[in-house]
Amino acid sequence: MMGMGAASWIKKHGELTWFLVLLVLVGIFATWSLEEVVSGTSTNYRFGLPLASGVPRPLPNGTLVVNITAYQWGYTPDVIVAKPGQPVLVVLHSRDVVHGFLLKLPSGTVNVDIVPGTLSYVFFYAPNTPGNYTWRCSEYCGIGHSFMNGTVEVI
Amino acid sequence: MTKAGLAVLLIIFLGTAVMAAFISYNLIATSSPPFRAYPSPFSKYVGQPLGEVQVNQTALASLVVSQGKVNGTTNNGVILYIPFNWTLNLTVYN
Amino acid sequence: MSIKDSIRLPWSPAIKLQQLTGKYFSQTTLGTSILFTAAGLVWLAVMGLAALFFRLILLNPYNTEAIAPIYYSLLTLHGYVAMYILVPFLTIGIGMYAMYKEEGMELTHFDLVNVLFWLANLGMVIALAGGPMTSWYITPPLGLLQTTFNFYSGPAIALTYIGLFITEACITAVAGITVFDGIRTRRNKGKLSIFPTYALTFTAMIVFTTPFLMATLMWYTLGILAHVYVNPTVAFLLFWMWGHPVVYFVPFAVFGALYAYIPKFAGRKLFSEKWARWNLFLLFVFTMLVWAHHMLVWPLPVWIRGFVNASTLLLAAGSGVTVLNLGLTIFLAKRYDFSDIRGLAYFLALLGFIIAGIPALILPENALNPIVHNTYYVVGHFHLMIWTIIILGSMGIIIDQFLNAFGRIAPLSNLSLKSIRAGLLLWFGSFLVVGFAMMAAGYQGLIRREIAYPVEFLPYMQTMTIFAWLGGIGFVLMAVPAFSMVTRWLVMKYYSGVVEQ
Repeated sequence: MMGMGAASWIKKHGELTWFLVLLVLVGIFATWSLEEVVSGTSTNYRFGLPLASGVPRPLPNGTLVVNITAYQWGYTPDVIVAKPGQPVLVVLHSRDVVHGFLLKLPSGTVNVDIVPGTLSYVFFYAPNTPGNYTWRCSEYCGIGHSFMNGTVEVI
Repeated sequence: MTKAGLAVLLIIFLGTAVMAAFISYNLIATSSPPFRAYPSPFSKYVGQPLGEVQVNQTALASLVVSQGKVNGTTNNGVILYIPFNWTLNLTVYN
Repeated sequence: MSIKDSIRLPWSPAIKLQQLTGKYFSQTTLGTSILFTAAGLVWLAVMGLAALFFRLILLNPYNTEAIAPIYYSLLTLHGYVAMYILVPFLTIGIGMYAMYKEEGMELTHFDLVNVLFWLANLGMVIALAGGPMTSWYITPPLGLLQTTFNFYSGPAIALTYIGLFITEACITAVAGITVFDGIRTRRNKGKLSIFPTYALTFTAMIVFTTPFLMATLMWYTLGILAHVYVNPTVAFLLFWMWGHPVVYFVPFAVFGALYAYIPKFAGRKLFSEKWARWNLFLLFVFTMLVWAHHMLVWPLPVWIRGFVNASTLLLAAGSGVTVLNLGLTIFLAKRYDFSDIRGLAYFLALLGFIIAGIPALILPENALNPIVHNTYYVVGHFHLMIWTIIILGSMGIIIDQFLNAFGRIAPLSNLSLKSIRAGLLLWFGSFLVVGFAMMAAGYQGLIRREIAYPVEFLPYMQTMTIFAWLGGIGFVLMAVPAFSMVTRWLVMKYYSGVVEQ
């Protein structure tokens, strides 16, 4: 009896049913995303959020810590020399306007903005393959924006 | 049943499926325990995770009068300086 | 005898002003709606030409800083015109037309609206006159530097922000007047039909969200003139509180037209009127919650990231329900009338919205955003939206407007109809190629707003430029016949004394 009532209710209120079903499905995905981000299992932690809270505590032994200042239009220093597989922590600071730091590594992409007045943190493991990996400025910062870059030398 | 309508529905569902696959690929490729070296995506991990501990957190926001002009993130929060000597403090307690 | 009679002037200022405004100001809702959409098309041509020229500059991957001022000035003009004036003008024009056509709702404050219209244009001219060069997002502190402007210097650089403030204030006022007058003059009872429901809701959204932009502009003005400290993170968050909703003004207003007219061209009713109406709340509310997703690479706390990741997905679901609703409508029909150019335009707008929207799903994902943030992937996504749902959707509505207003005494010839049809298809096809070239290049790491780039991206840039020019030809094919209608109507009205009913 109840089953018949439910089936015919759904048939009568088809649009409402489907709207709610779709909303529930999306709600589940959205909640899962939210939970992942808040709990820290969200994969962005892989390279650390630009926040200090994204940096592992304690730092692994042998971490190379580099303080970089971005300015119009370059980085100081603009070379990081690391050993293969070495953990690297880059602390980024901007002297003038908002700059970016985009580094494409074989294992993924680092992309953070450097906001004047705030420090940004990037943590990654240097690639195991020796070579030069270039980072570029990803945030529009003036006429020299295209010419700001630096190199991670893995030797 | 129009061909145009079929095309629209196919693009919606197939497009979403393709995008779901693309996003899944990228999520797997970027997902690894954050703090250790590993050779390539999609491979198994060896070793122990480094000390991440799940904690419950509560957040507290407050507006205070302060002279400091520096924004910052600290161990447990964010400080934002806004004009006229006010500072917004967002603190997260464990 | 009154004072007026005793002071005899050759002409009376009040009467002269009335004659001028009577002659040159629009006096009908239909006419005013065309004032805004036609002005939008003119601004579109301006910013489109700027883009076609800067795309030529991008054919050289080895550009030096010498070319930067020209490139970035054109780029900034492109962005300023698009977001600060083109989009709101189209939204307002569509809102006025929707309420007039479907409900007989009317504007009453014609003189005021016309004055505000011209002031809004003047504000934009003042802003552009300073030669804003490198900060079309007005990102602070870049937007506050001397070196950001070609012609304004010192305190005068505040004129750019004052100009934009004037434009946005006028636009906000017109949007408010439109909704207010429309509601007051409504005679029908019962539910508002779907096109004006959507169009007026998003015209009203201009009133809700533009004050955030105006606050940002005022803050910058105070920053330049009174040396008030501008906190980059807070100012940027404030900017995006307008900056995100603005991208929905035209698309969601156009949704209303798609809901109303795609069923007509499909010859059956909309699959679900209920979905369309419930969806409105979802779209309206969530539009205003997600803005920080533009700043996922900024040092923002985790709880903001989580919130905008989740809320953007909910908002995307609203778009999904829309396209499903319209897709099912067309699918279940016997045939779709592509022979009407409006039917074609609306169909291409819907198709384009789907194609543009699906790849965007990666963007709010907190974990994946760094792969594509500030790369050409984003540029490809939002341009596909602009080229399809915004421009083609507006074109469908504008053709409807023009036919409604001028169709009797200046009808479209067969050649014009063929030209518009060819233009719609050429525009759609060409820009689909440009959009996918952009997304492919961006995913591989081509950064936006660069004048020099790694040479491996050159084939993508070449593809983008060639097909963008083809799309530009498509625009000419669409716009020339449309404007020829206006011109013939103007000639007939003002020089031949023909009066349309």
